[in-house]
Amino acid sequence: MTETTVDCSKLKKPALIAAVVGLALSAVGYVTNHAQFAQSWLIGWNFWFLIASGSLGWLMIHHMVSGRWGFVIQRPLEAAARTIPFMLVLFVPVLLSMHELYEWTHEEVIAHDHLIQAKLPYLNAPGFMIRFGVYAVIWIFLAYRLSALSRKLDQGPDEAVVKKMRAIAAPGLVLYALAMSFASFDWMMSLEPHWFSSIYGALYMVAGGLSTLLFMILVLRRVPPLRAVATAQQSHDLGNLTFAFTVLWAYMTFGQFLIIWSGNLYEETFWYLDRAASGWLVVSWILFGFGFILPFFLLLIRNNKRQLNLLATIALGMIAVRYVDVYWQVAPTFRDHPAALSWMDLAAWVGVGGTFLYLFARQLEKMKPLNQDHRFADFIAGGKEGH
Amino acid sequence: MAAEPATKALGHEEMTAVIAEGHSFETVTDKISKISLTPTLPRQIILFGLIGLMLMGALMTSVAMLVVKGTGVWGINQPIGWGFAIINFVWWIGIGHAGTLISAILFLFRQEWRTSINRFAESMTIFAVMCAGLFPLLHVGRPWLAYWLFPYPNVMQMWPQFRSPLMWDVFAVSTYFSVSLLFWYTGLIPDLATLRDRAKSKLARIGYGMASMGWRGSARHWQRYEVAYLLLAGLSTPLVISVHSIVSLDFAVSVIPGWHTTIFPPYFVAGAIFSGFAMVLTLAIPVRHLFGLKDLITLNHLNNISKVMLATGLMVLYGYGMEVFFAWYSGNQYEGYMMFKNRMTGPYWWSYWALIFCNGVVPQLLWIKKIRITPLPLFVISIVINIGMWLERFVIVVTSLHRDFLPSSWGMYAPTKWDWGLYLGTIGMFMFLMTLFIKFLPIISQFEVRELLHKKKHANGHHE
Amino acid sequence: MMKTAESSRIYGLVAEFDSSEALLKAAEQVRDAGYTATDAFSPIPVHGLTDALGVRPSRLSSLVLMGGLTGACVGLGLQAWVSILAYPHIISGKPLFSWPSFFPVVFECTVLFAAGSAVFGMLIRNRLPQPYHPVFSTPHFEKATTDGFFLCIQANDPKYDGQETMAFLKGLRAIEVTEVERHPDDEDKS
Repeated sequence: MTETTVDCSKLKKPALIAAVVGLALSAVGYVTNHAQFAQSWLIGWNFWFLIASGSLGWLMIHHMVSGRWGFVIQRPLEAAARTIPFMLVLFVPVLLSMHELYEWTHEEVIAHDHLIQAKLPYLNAPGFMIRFGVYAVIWIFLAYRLSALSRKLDQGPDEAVVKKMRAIAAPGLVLYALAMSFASFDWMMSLEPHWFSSIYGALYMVAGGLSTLLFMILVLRRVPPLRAVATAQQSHDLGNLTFAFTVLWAYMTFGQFLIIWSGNLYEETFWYLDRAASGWLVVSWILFGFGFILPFFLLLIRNNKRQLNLLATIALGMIAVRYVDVYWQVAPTFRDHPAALSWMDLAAWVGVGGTFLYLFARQLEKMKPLNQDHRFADFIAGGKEGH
Repeated sequence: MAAEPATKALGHEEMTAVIAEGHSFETVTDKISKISLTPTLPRQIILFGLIGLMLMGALMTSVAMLVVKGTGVWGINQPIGWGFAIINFVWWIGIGHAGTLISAILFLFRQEWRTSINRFAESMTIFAVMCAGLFPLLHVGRPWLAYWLFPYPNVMQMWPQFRSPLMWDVFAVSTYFSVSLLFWYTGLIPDLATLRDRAKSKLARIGYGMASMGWRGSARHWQRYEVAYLLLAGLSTPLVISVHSIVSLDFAVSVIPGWHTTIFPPYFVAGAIFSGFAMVLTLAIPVRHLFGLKDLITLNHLNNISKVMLATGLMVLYGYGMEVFFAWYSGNQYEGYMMFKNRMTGPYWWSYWALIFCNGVVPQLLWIKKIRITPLPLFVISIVINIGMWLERFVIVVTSLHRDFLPSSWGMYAPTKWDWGLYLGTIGMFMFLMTLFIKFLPIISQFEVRELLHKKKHANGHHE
Repeated sequence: MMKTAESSRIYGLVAEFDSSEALLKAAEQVRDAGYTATDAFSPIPVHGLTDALGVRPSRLSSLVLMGGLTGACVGLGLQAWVSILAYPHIISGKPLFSWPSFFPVVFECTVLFAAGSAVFGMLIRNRLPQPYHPVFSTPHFEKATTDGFFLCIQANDPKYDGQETMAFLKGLRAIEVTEVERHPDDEDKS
């Protein structure tokens, strides 16, 4: 295993520039048009946060199953998970824009809306903030504890540390899933306070898992010390996981739609009616075509998964669709037409993304590119057979 | 089944072993095929089969009663038209799912520990789906006209209604049964050839010879065989998920409170895997004990199965949690009433809390490693989970139906003896078929165990 | 090539080996010696054996893909035809072409057809069932399904020459080489 550290200077500089420019422009947006800023920020932030939080999820799954796909991306996963506290700081603008985003904070709306009144014990500003704090504690604890333990393994293989990581990861996943689900209800689902869907939390996690896989494939392709050890088999494994998560995402998205469409109750269908209005219908079909059909067939082909460069190209396209998905979840509440894009959408995406990538690079370069876990050593020694 | 002494001091090697040391192709093949080729069975298995046969008597009587008198002999009536029939249908289908999961998904993930239990689990699938299929078939009231469910040109000029999830069920269950059967049989072909070549009696040779279709282990055959098997595994994986999702849609696409919720498809799938793995344990623990298969179904297998049960159990629990949260959060008064005033505190409150105890509380014991590798408590837990998953379907079907939107159409449900007869009868049928399987077919996939042995030898060679 | 009655009576030569490694090595040598009408028999799928024998990779996957697509078309076609043309009824306010509710059946038909293509395609291409095959009369061939590894060079191979091929196979460290007849039971009739 290589002792070199990861050279992230190529990523750090442009990321930092993007962060500064994007954040500065967003700040301008915040002052000039707060309502517009709030939507753009929520969309841009969500896209990147799904990668940071998804990395924590995958990290814990990796500790549980220790599949051979996980060892090469373990350090990038840890690096991304360690950006979570900073990403949560970037959530503060959302907290400052609650009035612009969430109808349930409007006194005059509540006064005439029985449904929102019934939900007030959950949908209220202090509750929103307290829950945010709870989620933050859970995620930050898990991310930092697990990555600190993993760093201990740099000194040499230690079965006890691995056991400890497992012991944290198993209940950690339970807490993580609960926090992610309720976070998705708070931040995304409550944009339409009348609407509800019990699969929403699971769907949010699956979308995050998919975004993370795509991001990790790109990292694996771009970061030389990792690319050097990644075998075709690992690329294949990641490709298969991407395939599985694409199908899983489509399955849940379609399941939610089918149940609501068949039930045909107004309290649920309006969410889809918004997304079937003239312009949004096109986006819905784009999501179906490019989020499912095209990647499904591309990832069915074995060669596309075994060659990392081909897989990375596909991943790049798919990660663009992930943005469309987040946009499709959030924007129809505010915009009658999907083409009502704003320069702030770009500024927020670039600003948050630049910050995330810069922090990710800083974390990654402090780490050894590969972990010294004994399971990984076994895996290298055992040639292509891993469990 | 006393706890094995080995559990006390398990080394790393023993815990990760999927097959014990010191076996060769000859010994594993012999060990497995001997079960099918010796004319006698352990007394316990014979007893098991006889109980099954006896219960099948109850099945026959109940079916006869139903056919003669009609569905009125069951406890179903307005407003609960879906009583035991649907509960048991979903229960059996769910049990079947672990078989496909073990043989297909674990195959795709190259989980070697699947090898010793996949044949067993696949057979369980086939028999469970057969039991499941009986219920909707009989529930139509006139089972001899059940073919009306299929789209075919007929003199009535009528066609099925494809917007109905019950129609999707017809396709899903029949596809599931067909594909599982193909998968099972394909996996059996090389093993049947082994039995043909090892059988002493002429009758057995002819029987296994015909069933193995003249398999001779040709390299060309193996090549296509492996491709076909891999593809079948790849197809079965989404299939098994689709089947239970469609079963869940039987409920979810309606607007009945407690049924109409979007978490249903994945939550039903998790529940199916949960109950299926529990059934695998219920069957595998006694079998490994009785046939001395502890070398092949190791404690590592039990540990892994328990982990899968724990994980899927937590997913199911997540589903229960989401149901409760959204019953309140939806702000829909009917949903709220159904959950808090009816399911939790209504006349069937005991079934809801028993369900939470069986599926939510008891499986948490599996967090403890010592329990995961001790057969006796595992056996008990697996039975508790089987009961819990049955109760889950009871809660879903009965509590949602018995009080709908109008209090004037409320009613209670109680199964009759014919309901119980049919239910116990299918358990008997399952037991009997399982006994026949144990007697006549290799209960562990011989060629895959040989392959595993070969791989292991190869890997050891590399290290040295 | 003219075959004498003697050579057409012979199916080929079957050599037995004690391990998959030995079989694999022998298969490579047989291929390199220029034999083409060959086959190997083993109790487990031996990886690399088909390459060693020079067998082309299987095309079953494309057949299965075609099967699946056919199934999807059949499923969609059936439902669309039934719901729009044969029996048009508005049910629960849904359009006649209710594509969301057609999805499940389309999916099931896809899987059914694809799985059928996989299994029956495999059986047909393997020419199974075939209850009788000349190699079954090889001594100890019953071990081919437990722990025996066999290699066969057929008599219809252009390079086949009874004595020479026998000597060649024996040189490959085979445990035993046997001449196998096409119909051993017919011997006294002919």
